[in-house]
Amino acid sequence: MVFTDDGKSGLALAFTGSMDLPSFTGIGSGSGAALVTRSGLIAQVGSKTFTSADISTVNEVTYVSDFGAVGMSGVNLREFGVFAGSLSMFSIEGFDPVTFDGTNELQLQVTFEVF
Amino acid sequence: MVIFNFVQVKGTDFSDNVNSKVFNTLGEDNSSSTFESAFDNFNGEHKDSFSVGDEVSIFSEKDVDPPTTKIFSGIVEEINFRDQENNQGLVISGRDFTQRLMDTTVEPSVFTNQEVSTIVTAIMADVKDITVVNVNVTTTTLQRISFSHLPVFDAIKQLAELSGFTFYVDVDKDLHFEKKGGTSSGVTIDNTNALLVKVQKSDQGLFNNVFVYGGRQLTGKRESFVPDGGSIFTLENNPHNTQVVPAGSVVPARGAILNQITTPPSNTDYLVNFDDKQVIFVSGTEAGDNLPSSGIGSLVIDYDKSSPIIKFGENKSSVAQFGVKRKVIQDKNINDPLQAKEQLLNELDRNSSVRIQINCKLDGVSNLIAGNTIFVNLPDENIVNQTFDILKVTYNFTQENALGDTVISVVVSRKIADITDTMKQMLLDIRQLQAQDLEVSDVISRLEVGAGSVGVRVKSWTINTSLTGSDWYLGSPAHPNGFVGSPGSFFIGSHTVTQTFQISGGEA
Repeated sequence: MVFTDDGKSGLALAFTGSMDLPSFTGIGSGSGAALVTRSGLIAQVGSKTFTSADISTVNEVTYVSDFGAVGMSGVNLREFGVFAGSLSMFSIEGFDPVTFDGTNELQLQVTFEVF
Repeated sequence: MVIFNFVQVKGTDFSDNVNSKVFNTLGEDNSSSTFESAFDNFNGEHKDSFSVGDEVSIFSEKDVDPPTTKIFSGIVEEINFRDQENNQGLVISGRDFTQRLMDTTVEPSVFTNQEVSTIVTAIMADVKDITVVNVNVTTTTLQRISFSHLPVFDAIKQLAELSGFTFYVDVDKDLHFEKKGGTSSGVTIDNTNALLVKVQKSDQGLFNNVFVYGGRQLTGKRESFVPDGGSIFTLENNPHNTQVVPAGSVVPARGAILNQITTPPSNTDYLVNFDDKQVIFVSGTEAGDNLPSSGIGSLVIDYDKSSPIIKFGENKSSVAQFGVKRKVIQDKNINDPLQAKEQLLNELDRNSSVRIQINCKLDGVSNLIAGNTIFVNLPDENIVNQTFDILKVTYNFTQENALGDTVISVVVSRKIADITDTMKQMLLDIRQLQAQDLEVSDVISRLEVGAGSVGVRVKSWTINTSLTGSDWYLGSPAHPNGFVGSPGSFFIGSHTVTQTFQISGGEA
């Protein structure tokens, strides 16, 4: 999962209080390479604020997002990204499709590490 | 094997030179050559063979007689006759055509947003006889740089420093402006050809804490005061070009300099105390009462504030290793903060580390050029397969050296500052007429380059799915195998459905 250029500049701005930090996950069905230059998903189909943020591990934060079966029904999930409140996409990933048919729910976990 | 050589002066070949030497030296960013040739002058045989100003070429080649490779091209600048008893001789000496660059200055010029090689070509326009065929394009574009009667040599040297290039005038009178370390000599110094080796590692010339002071700029400032009956108004900065407009007036007050004369004359309303940042209204028999009336309107004082161009930078890892090594650069030609920053970054990049210099006499090598690179493999000196710059090549054409194929001595790697560099820089400073008139600065832009780093990455990500709804069971936690109809308690319970892993990734 790549940390985008928008994410880097957003993180730098966050030191001044000018930029929101990540607060929600976006999901999409677009197919393509996850590039650092992307500023949004290829084909976004939904988004959700984080269900939880776990900071129990030093220098790490794990965000969890849950999406219900109704909202996921019919989605061929191929991409997701982590966004700040100002709509800056901090990171993006693409993968082979995961299909949702209305009977299954989605949970996403992303762990950021400062090193 | 024999190294053959001869000297050609004004088109005439002379192979009876007793001894010739050529010194091809690389400065920080340039290469230049000097020569000297000694001849016997029995019965004045060479009394009029040479004249100051004659063009000189020296040829040298291994096992080729006459040699065809020109290793030096320049001008006779000095002729010294020596007569002692039965020994009569003379020595001619001079510099290569790099001297043309030293003898011409750049007219007052400012270049903005230009790539470095175009600036080099432009300032070479006034240098006669030297072509610019081998001025290569750089990757550096300068926001702004100015020259005012700086020798062309020093101007090109500045441009070379800023772009990581080196320059020299070749034997065909063509200026080479090339990327430093871009051309290999194809020679390796190792235990098969190094006859005499001296390795020196030194922190001379190492600077990791650098101030760049440029010129000063005047910018306008306005301060307003409510008069309180007093005569002294203190400003925030030292005031240049003061203009004072009293309350209720549009006519500027008349000013003078404090302590210039004992008694202010009648045409003076206020005095300026520059060092204490004060405007002082005067009153007295001759000056009259010029004090601003208390509480009426506001007094406006306009003046120019002098702001210096200053940049500071430090390489923290170098400081931690070697201690603070400070360098102060003063150049009033720098009137743009970006130019000061570029010079600062360049200085820290070039001079924050230890310098290594190797002096070596070589066997079996006939031609090297200062500015090219050379490979060094001297394991006993802890130098294993490393590339160095050739700083200086000395050709010493004695009969013994020529027969033994040991004409060349080299100095390689980065140049260690010595007294000649210090003297040259002092002369350059005098030429630039730099004055020691620094004022206390109000803002210094600081750059610090330190060790350590921080980064953020996505350590891991996971996608899980789960079926909708919940499981249920009949019974109770105490009796998991419950049954319908039993007199015992029973209920329908539920628990969380297990998630199904789909895909994951990350950099961990």
